[in-house]
Amino acid sequence: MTPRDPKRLRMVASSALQRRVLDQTAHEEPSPELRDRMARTLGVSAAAVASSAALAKTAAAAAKVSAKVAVGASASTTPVLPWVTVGVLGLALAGAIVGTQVWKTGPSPQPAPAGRAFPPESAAESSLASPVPSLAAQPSASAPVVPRPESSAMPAGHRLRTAPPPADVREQTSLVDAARDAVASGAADKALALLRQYQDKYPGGVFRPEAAALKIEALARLGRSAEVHALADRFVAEYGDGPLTYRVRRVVGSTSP
Amino acid sequence: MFESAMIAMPEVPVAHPVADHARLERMFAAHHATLWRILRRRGFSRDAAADATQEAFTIAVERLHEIQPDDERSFLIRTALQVARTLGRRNLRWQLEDDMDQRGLEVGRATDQRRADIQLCDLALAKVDPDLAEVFVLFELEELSSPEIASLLEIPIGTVASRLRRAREEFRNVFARLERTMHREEQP
Repeated sequence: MTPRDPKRLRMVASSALQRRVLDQTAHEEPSPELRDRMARTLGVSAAAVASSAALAKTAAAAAKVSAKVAVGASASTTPVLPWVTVGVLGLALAGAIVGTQVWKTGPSPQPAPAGRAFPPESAAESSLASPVPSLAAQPSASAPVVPRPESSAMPAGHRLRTAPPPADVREQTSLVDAARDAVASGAADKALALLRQYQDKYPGGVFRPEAAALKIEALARLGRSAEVHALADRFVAEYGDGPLTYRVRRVVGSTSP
Repeated sequence: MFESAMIAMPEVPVAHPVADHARLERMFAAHHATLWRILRRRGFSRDAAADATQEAFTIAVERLHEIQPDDERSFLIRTALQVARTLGRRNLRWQLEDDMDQRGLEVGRATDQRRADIQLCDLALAKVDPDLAEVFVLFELEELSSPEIASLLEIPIGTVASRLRRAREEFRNVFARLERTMHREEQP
């Protein structure tokens, strides 16, 4: 919202019913079954999406008991938490990555200008003042071609290639997953310990942005709002806009510095 | 043989599969509900909205390497809107009869209040001009900024403002009519 934009009608409408109706509609969500169906078809880990939703709710609940860390109401109802999971690794191993299916009859959106294909999660590109300090370059993985296993979750018609991840990616994923689970279960201290372990062992880890976002989440749960704001500012400065930044902003919400 | 076939498909970029998939997963987690809601507001059923959301993500997968990290949401929304157009939004929009007020009454009395509220909103939106409703949904419900909407719809920002103003006016009028009808019915 820009300064020139009017306030949203669901905040300022004169009719209480209108405000309620707009608010309910703005927070409508697909059912878990529909969400999982979409995820499966796309080869996305439904567990990751589901746990993201759960994490969002957990974060919102935690915010209610913390006077210092107030998560915005919208975060409590919108599962917008992009996380890495073991499912990512499993799907990568299964070859469920970027199939192509020619869109013959559908629309042709205006492509974005050619440029960087990845957010700076390839960590090699970034040595800025980061939420997770002293991170160095990460060599990119080679991508040998192997047949697609039958168990792949990708839809028929997609041509698949698989590329074994770097040897340490499995452990990286496990660590980040464990940290995410710790945050989700309220064990923020444990999460921070796991994230420290991740940072020490994999200073240029491929999941560095996710680890940084998780750290912000864990700190928010502990009510360490000053650190949350400082790290969130650095996160935004380093990574700019993107799904993770979107998430960090939602988690931080209206936290008072 | 399989490898040969794959080598013959250089148009498929596989630079970093783990990162690619992690990115897709993040995009899905972050934006699938937004796309689904936008399609619902276009009159799609829950199932149809899920199918169309899948289509939008399928296109995004094909073009993942063309999408700038800071343009993911816009790309996905733009694609979903185009999918909706391709599928024929006007055919999918609510076919309102002249007794729309009566339908408003019915949904207003539903036992599931939340679902009834959403139906009431869709009922009102269906009476708003589709081009205006599009801006209304993006601004009022999905909370995009005017510049974002202008960029996404490729229209001047002044047009966004005027469409939003007219959309609000239409929405308020339709909604007020529905409210009045419900109040009348509640009288003994």
